[in-house]
Amino acid sequence: MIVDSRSIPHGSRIEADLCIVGAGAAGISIARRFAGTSTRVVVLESGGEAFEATTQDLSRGENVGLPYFPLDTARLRWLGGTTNHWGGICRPMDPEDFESKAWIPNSGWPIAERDLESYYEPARVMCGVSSGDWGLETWRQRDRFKPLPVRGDRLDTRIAQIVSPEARSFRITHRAGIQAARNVVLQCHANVTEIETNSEGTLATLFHVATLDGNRYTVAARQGVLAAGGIENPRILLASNRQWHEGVGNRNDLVGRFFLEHPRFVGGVLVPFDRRLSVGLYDHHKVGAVRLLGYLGLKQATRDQEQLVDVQMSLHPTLAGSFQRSAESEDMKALHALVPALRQGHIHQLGGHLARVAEDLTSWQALLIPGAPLPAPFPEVVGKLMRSTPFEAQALIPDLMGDIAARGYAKKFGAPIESILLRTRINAVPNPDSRVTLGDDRDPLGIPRVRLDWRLTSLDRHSVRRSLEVLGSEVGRAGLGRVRVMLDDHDGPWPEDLAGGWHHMGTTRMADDPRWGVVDRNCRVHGIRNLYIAGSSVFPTAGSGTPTLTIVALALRLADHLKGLLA
Amino acid sequence: MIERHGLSRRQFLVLSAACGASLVARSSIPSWLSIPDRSTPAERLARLLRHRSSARVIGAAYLRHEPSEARLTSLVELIAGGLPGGAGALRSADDALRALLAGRVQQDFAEERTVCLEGWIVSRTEARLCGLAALT
Ligand SMILES: Cc1cc2nc3c(=O)[nH]c(=O)nc-3n(C[C@H](O)[C@H](O)[C@H](O)COP(=O)(O)OP(=O)(O)OC[C@H]3O[C@@H](n4cnc5c(N)ncnc54)[C@H](O)[C@@H]3O)c2cc1C
Repeated sequence: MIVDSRSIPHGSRIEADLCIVGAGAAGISIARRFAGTSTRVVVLESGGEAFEATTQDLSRGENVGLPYFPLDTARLRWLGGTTNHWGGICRPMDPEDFESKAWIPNSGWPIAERDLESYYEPARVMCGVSSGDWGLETWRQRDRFKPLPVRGDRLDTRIAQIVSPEARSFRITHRAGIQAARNVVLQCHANVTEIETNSEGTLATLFHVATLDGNRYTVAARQGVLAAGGIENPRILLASNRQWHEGVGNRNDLVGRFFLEHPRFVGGVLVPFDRRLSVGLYDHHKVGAVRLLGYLGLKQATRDQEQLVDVQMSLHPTLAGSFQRSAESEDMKALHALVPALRQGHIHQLGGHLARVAEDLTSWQALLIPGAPLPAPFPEVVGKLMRSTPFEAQALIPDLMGDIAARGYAKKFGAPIESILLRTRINAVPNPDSRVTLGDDRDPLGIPRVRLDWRLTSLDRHSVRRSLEVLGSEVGRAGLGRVRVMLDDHDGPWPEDLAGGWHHMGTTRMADDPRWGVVDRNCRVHGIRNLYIAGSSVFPTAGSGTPTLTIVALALRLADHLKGLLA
Repeated sequence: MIERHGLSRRQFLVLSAACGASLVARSSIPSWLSIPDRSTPAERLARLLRHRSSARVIGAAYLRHEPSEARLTSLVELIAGGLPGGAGALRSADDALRALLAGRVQQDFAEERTVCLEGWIVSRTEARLCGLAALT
């Protein structure tokens, strides 16, 4: 059931078995796992069922470290949380992501991949990921695009899946399930401002709630879960500092430290000798109904040998610039010629036409660039194609249309490539100085706003550089082209296009030893018997996958753990 | 291991075409088509590159990086030393020599005998060929 907390009487004290703070990917996954049980679940969600600027503003904060997104744009504060605009790119962690490496300080998880293995499948379903197959080999059989033909055994191609846009928002896909669950009460507009503990600090006794219109009440629960996202989780713990000046769960000064992102920037460029080199596998494309995206990385053995962190390299072709030609171009004429050819059933002639049409694809690409002029005949021609095709040709149309939309057509027929930008994404080194703290400003509820000091290390930089050098050597060896590395190895400034992946991790990291982690292997806050954390703030390392699938797998595992305790 | 240096993108594009692609592509031309000549090994090697002016720019960058190699005899020796048959390989017909050099370039990459010129990862052999072009 979904209710509005503004209508809950001021000063109430609500009792529940389980209190979940936040209704994003993590909070909703736990709540849904409890749906239909006898456990009384209260979910406290800051936002409403639609975006509201005043609520979103509570996420505003200050960036004092490496340049980062404005904090109020880096996550969303309404039902469904940041899944209301995430990219939907999913890949589970690799088994080695959980391992500790001697040359990566603070690496290693207290759990292994096998502890999560059985949760990835239900997590996939929760997230709307189409297939449970992540191996290149499976897709190699079915995909019309092939991996870059490099030899040697130092590079891998890895496959991620992309959730279709309509299945991405947890607000849309899980609202009905929450609404129908009689044991789950999701309270919108309910901001948790503080967690109160007993006098020893060993039990979370009350969650203090405030609404923006001045309502105040508390929730007492047998078990509590913070699932407010990788920046708000530490904020709530740190801001709960009336009883404990360092905040709740922060006896070892770890809350907010080890902030991790997946830093991204263009680290190099590949100039192919063959301007029709097929790199379609590394762009968004579909195999049947499954949306895929490939990227390159160094194999584990090479990384181990060279003592590097994992760097994923995605390929972004820039097409030859000669296609800013007008609608009078030969290629556009060829496109016009498709219509009668299709109508007359001259399928056998189409190959040549299609190949010529492909030559114009860079101008079609312009269609996808906001503000670029549209080639006039294009929509008209496509419209005609749709209306006037004989039966045999119809199969070609979705292919043609879909691929144009997905930019895959350019690669399918080989629009000439000028160069391929190599965008690198680092599985960054956990760094205690990269951290979230409380700033001096307060939000309208009186809670200190966050201050983010994002930092990277020289091993991150060296790993990018070396990964690109190895790629350069393998590409040269295969005679595919030459690579330019655009990052030096000195501790100078990071590239201007450095950005994160909108993944906020590490700030309440998991470790068996309370001196090294905020939560234990079951995601329970060390020292507090009934307070748990869900979300990527518990990740000790960023991993080579994307976070959300693992967030959900961990959340489902936590739900099962809590079920055991609450039974 | 890779060593590092500097170059413009345009120069590099021409270099790629000159050193990598053309060596491999032209090695498929039958060797009886090549015309025997009496030029020095350095001249012969340098002439295999189609885009001499670009090769000179790259070669100059390489020689700034490796001043100790900035002599025709050293460069010829170093290049020949990497070919099967050593100096004898330089007596091969042009296309056979191109094929040998292309193979050596590939091997350089496989074994990371590369140099980094303004970020570009270039095989030692191709950099040295450009060095010859710069000196002839
Ligand atoms: C533009 C963008 C693209 C992304 N793309 C991808 C991608 O392709 N793949 C991927 O894996 N991940 C991606 N992510 C990250 C992904 O969105 C997050 O990993 C995921 O949403 C985290 O889930 P969560 O439940 O931990 O946090 P959230 O989804 O952020 O949910 C947290 C919830 O807690 C609520 N909340 C916060 N504070 C309080 C409070 N004090 N009291 C009560 N409630 C509170 C919020 O309103 C929110 O609803 C992307 C993120 C962005 C911004």
